[in-house]
Amino acid sequence: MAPDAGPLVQAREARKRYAPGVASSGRGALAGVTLSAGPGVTAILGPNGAGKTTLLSLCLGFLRPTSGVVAVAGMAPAAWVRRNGAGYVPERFAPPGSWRPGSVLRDLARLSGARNPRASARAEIERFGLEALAAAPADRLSRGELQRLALAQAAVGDPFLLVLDEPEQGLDGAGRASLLRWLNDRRREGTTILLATHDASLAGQLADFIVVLSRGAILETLAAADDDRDATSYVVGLERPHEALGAWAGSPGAVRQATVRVSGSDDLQARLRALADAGARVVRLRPAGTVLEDRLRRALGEASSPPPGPEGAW
Amino acid sequence: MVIAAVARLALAESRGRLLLVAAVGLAFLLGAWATAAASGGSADPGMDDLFRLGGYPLVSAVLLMGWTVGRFPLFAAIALFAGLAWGGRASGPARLLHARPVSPLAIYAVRAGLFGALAFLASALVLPAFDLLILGAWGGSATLALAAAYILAYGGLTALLSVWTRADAAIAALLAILAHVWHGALRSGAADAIPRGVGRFLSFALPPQGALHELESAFAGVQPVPWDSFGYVAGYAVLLAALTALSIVVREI
Repeated sequence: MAPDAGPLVQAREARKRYAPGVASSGRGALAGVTLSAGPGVTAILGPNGAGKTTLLSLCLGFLRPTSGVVAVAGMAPAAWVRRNGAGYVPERFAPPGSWRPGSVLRDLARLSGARNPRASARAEIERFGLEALAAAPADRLSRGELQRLALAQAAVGDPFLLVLDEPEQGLDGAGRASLLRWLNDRRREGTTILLATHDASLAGQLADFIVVLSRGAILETLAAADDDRDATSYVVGLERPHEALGAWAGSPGAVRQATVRVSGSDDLQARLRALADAGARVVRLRPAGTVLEDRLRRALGEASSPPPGPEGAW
Repeated sequence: MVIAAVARLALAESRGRLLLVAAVGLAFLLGAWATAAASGGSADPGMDDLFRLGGYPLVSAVLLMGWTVGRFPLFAAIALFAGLAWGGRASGPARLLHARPVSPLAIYAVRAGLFGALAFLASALVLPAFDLLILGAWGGSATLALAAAYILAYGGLTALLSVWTRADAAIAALLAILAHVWHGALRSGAADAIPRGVGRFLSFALPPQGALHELESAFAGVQPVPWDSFGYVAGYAVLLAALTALSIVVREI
């Protein structure tokens, strides 16, 4: 089934309560969640126990709402998934120890309805850098390697719906880059992606919509425009400590590296010029936060951005 | 293609348990071989010969081994069917499989068929080989009927329990023990004091040890298969399969 332009996943006043005494595996209950998720990335942020995993489980039909409605393309989620399939990354991926990435991905690609399971498995093995581990049993894989296998198994068959529960967990820099590339590709292709994460930076880089959950309820829903991804703070590093950077960062004395805030790209250029005029040579400049991340951190009740000020030598 | 993929994933997942069943089967065969060797290589050593060789301990050990090997299909069924549905519910294969465009009922039917076939294959090798080693003859088709009946009854029971609890194997084993005890009490008359309704309920609710006992007697006595008893066990298994399918549909994962 080709994805429609409208929202694929819809929840209306969805509530979930676990029966007393039933272990919920740390999942929080939901207290009436209404949301729509269409093509693109909908990120769900919130602290532990906020109900992120429960919400994702409802969207795939693993759980049923106690009251309210959750639907995928107007159907019960389990029925839609049975017909179309979905890519799913669990919060804690623990495959049987004897599963081997190469053969397991081929079989899962077959079950996902891939036209060429072998080619589909090979493509995901390459995408997530599992070539050297294709024949290794899962119990020999590190945490990060297992997480790459979790991503690869979700990707086989190119499902129209991806439901990812903290997919960034345990990934190193290369793994995280693969994850970002994959999700950006799928986002451009119009895949509906539900992404639960604690990582405001990841959500800020990827998400079209961000839902902030707390204690089972939606605190805030943010729509992300391209401007929202503009940086609002930077890490600036100098060849040698200089008072001009200290003054910018609001710290007395000479400073070699600092996180500083800017009000836009013109402000950044002007301040960098001022540093150069003062004789300070900038050797490092990288974004440290965006408009969206600041908004998210405010919504999550954290500091709005890393506090400006000097940092240790590097 | 899909059936083969589900079967391969299930085999990869259950390698440890398959090895355990094979090891237990091998241990029985080694025991039978050792008994035959100890009695001078003669098949069907008499109890007197065994007593002369090793006294009560050897006679008891051989009798116990003979009784236990008759429960090998029970053991194989519980070991292989444990965790059949939704083992590793939240993090393992269950949710990964449920996210594919395949009916969960079809997935679990393939898994049950595969594990049932493997348990039967192991039993069909171990039981006749054990008999041949220790008695010089095997029980004929009653051996296979007994193995199939145990696998149907206890495989079905463990599969149903696996939908609802992680303690499926332990509960199935406990029910097997209770069924043996209850059947013994019925046969000895010790259960006569229990109200009739309660007794009937227990006989219905517990695994069908009475029918299994009939099959076991035919196996031990090299008698024709009592097909009515086999049919009773098969009916019990069909009921369990229906309850398992219903549970899979109803149960959240």
